[in-house]
Amino acid sequence: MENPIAFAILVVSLVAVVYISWWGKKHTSTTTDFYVAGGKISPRLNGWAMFGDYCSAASFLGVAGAIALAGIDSWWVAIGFFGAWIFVLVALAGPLKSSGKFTVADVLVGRFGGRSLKFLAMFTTVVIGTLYLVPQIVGAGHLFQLLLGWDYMITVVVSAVIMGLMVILGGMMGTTYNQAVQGVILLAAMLLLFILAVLIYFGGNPFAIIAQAMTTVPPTQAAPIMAQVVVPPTPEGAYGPFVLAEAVRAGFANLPNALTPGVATPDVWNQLSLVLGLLLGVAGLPHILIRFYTVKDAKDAKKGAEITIIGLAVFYIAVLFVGFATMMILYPALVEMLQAGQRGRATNMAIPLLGMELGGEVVLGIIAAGAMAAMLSTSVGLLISMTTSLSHDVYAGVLRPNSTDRERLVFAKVGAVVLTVIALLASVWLKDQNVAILVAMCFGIAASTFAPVLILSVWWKGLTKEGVIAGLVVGLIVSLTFTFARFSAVPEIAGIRVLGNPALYGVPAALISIIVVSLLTKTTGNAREFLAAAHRN
Amino acid sequence: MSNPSTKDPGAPGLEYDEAKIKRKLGAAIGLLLIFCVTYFVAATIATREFKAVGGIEILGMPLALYTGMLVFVVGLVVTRMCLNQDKDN
Repeated sequence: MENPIAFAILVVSLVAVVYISWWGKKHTSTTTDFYVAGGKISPRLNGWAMFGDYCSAASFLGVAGAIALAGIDSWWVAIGFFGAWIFVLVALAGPLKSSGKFTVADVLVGRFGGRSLKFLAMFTTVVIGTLYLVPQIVGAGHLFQLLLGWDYMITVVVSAVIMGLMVILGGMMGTTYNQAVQGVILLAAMLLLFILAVLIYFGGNPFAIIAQAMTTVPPTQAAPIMAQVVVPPTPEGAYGPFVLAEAVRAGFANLPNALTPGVATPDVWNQLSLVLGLLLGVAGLPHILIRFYTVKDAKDAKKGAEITIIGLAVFYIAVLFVGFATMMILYPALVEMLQAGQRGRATNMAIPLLGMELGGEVVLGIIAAGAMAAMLSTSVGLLISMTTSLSHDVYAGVLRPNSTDRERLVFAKVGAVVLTVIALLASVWLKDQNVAILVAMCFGIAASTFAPVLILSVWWKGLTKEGVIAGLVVGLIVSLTFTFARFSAVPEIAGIRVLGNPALYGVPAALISIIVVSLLTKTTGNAREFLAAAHRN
Repeated sequence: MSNPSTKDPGAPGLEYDEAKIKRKLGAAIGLLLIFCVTYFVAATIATREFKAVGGIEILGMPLALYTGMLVFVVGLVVTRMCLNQDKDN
């Protein structure tokens, strides 16, 4: 086995996760406990749990890895991940908590009633959740591959099995504590990397990272021209951390540096589509929204969100520095992987490799535990939100209202297995994609479906049931069409250019559908009572 | 396990106050406007078409880096303002 110490640390952290789930299960006696921990979670705990839930493989591995390869442009994914929370806090957190119960569908059904809405909301939840699971499995697969040297196929199967088991083991109480602990581990792991990199390679001065980045050509720019780079011989016979980067700069003074903007962003429309999708995405992500139902009231929901926002600000600023440090410290390895056509591996594994470089197997183990924590907490959150929707909205709400609790739980858990298998198959197809980009696509779909519908539900009296259905259907069709076109390398659809993220088409299409159909119809539901409840605080 | 208990969003005793909702909506739009202007301007100047703007050096570092950092600062300020508004309400 490769890296036995790191693997042992990872196993210890996994055992701790399983123990917390088992402990949480002991404190779960009703379905309300299973779905939303009985609404008894404190805002501080919920804030950390939301941080752990939100910081997925994309945040921990993908963004820093992408910055390490391409420079500052890749930071925009992190800025968007952060910005989304401001939008959620101001526009949605309070009213959502005051008007909802367990799932996104509850909010819509609370105002409009009807089985069709429940079913449509469940379907959208499952589509977003399953697609969001893919990058978690891809990231976990690459991580196990690095730690154990196993084949990618075996590693993704093992990762998916662990994720599925976690959901079958515990409910929301255990998940909350797990996510909170994992959130602390994630932040600590990122700060540990930052501190070690600054102390070991940059003389204790964090701004030296920025200064060095100003002279470093990003590996994505350097890889194609490496044959023309003249590297001075070193006494050890190998490249020092900065030798190759300095040789590239010396030979190609006109190439951009790691802080040059506009190098990795394709164009302004792609950028706007990405940042729009990221900004609105969280307002449509069921596994995040469900966390607002685990606290007592709207005030606590907002307090929790503030803790998450502060944590994210610290985390994503550290990600920028760690990304740049990774670029410079691992420059030869990153360039080599890019030349070998292993861009996906280079992006997703740059951070664990940095851990290995800075502190050997022990730090690699801590980083691996952090990365696994990111993937597990997000995956379990996703599976819980999907199974809650399957069980509560569809099975108990539509298919078999008289079913027993046991039957509902069995239905939910079988659904979790099926969804994990689907995500597993997609993970094989998309194994070389950057996990941050995959997550950003899911944000685009969420931004085009749930986000406009939910925001208008809690703010607009004139919204109608038909408008909601039209918005969900149109947003889902448009965003999914452009998402699959993007991954199938289709350049345009009906003369419309396919962008990196579907939000620039999906969001306006959904909004226009909602508004136009709402103006033409009259089923506003119990708008006055619903809005009074949503804004009671 | 028992059936989940649910809150009724239209629970009796809550009165619909359009003026209050409009006031809250105005405040939310104001806060989001402050943040979104910062966010989208920062995102735009970081693109290929506007890299001449994003690349302007201030104290040796490009404007795009400062505006990216500014998004975090403005985000934190808006967060506090939002929670303070709740306190005032």
